[in-house]
Amino acid sequence: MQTLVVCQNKGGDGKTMLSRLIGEFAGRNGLSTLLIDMDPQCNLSQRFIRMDIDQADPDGVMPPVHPEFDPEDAWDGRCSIADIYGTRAAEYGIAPYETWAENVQILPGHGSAMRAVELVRSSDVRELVVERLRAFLSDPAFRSFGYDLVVIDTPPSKGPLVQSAIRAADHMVIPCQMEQGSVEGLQGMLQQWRRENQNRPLEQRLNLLGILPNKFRAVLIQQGTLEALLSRVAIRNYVLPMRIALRSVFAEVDHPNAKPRSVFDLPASNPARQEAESVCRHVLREMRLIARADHATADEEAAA
Amino acid sequence: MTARASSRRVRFATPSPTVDGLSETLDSVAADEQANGTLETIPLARIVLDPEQPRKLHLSRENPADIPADDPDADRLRAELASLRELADSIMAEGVLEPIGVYRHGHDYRLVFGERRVLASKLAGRETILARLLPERPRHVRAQQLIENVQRSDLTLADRLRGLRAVLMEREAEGHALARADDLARVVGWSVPQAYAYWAILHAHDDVHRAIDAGIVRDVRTARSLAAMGEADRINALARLRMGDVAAGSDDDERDDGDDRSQEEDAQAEASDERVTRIKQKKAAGRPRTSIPLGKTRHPAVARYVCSKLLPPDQFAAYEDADWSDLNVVSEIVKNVMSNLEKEIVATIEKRDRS
Repeated sequence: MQTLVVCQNKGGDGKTMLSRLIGEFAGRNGLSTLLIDMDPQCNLSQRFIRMDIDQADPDGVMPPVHPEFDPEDAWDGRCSIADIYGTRAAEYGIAPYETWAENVQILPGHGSAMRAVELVRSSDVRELVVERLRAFLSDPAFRSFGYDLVVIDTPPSKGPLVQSAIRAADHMVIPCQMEQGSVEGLQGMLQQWRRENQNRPLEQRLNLLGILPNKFRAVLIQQGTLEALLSRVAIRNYVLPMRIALRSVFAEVDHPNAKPRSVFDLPASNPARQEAESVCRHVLREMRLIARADHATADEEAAA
Repeated sequence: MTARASSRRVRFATPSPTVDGLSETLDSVAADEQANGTLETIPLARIVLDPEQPRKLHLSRENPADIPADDPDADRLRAELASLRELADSIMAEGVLEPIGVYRHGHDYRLVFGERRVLASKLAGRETILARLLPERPRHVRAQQLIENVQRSDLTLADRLRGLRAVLMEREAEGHALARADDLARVVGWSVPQAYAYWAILHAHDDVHRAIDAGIVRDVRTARSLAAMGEADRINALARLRMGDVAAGSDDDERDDGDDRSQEEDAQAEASDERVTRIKQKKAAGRPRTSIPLGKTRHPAVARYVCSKLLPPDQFAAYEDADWSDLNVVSEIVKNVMSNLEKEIVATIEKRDRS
């Protein structure tokens, strides 16, 4: 099992979209995949399952009643990743939800519960939050689910939940718009990556796959910013060799009535699909989840 | 229009301070590994404790719990073991949180710091431990060990001095012998007064060191006072301390004795120590001076002038016919003159003291 964290301190740079793309692509390639939604806004959850309305919560959603719920149970029938930070996981267990995407399951977020997680006393943060997700993912009970890949989507912050996700991950990818505010957000993420590795043995290093230039537009400010990053040798090695352009189709597939639901169901000639495939293939290859010398599929040949 | 567009392009493509910062962060990631070594999980069995480490846990390294009943230090060992057991309990519960420091030495790893964590992990039944693997034997490893250890309350004065001597030897071997107490303060990160105190103790007469090693002198203050005393006072004080060691408790009297010195006296002693240490710096292994060299000159005329002033004219006349151009001859004359003068003055002082 490999764990990938998608993070960026700046909001709106495409963490949820990238998590979604990688999850869908991995599932289509036969990898049993679990998505974990750490963002209290629960956007990723809403892309994959129909969340229930929670009137009491500013974000307004909570996980739906699980299909395996039995009214005789003590369990209230809802499960979110917030459960592992309290006693619920120990009491009721964890039940990921099936999604419409092939081979993809999800542990959704729950806005109010996730925010409560970060309210623990600061002296308890390390034990109760930061270490918690890693402990959960390495628990034999969780391992028995048999996932090949876990993708963790994070909120735009550097707080305990994000630290928890980083601590639990083997690989890290940072989507970033080629604009000043987003580039400023990189600094915090790279510092966290560095600090994390200072406390890990060599064989357990958190592997920074790279920075993905996202929502890219061929305008001077974006081209110039990318050029500036590439001009520094130290940064160049960490910029992914591909990019995803700003395209309305990525917003369209988020709509509940979208057809098709997945970018990967667009025609093979569609540039959005080609870009998404190129990025996802690169990421999964770097994680050694799909073969490097994968002979090119018909789609790829068409793209070439 | 084209010109304007291209100038904007250049402006945006010029790395901003943010980009410079990112570059520095990523550069320092590489530097982290160089400077701080990498973290590895290594087998405890392959860790060799450093034979020269200042802190001496006397427990068996293979099996810390094994304390021979007839060991004269059994009480101390049992206390060490008890505190090690506490650490072992926490290691069993949470693992070792702070990595130990090692460097490769042949097929094994030499320990730089973390002796207690190593022994406690063995007690806890662990087979491996998280270690920061330093790229090579760190420079100033003794200084690092000393800094790590000197804060420990259970470290004896003798342990600290042993560590300090290792630091001095290490620096000398590296071609940077420490010449002054100020250097010591800088290297081990002590306050200047503390460094002066230890520096004075390090350069005290051998009998003070023997008393420290034998456990007769156990605190810095007493040792510092002894180092500052003249020969007769020191011998006297040491004799009293030894007797005090037999009759338990009188060690405190001696410490009071040291405390009785006024602040001014302390300051004076410190200042004079400073002068002494600044002047005699060739060898680290020094002793308190027992004589005063009266200087050197290349010119026999200077020696002749000094002798003529020191001696009454009738006595000086006896040397008038000597060869004042021969340095050997003149040296002999000066030696005789000084020797006679010393006898005369000491005799006068003793006569005065008796009366």
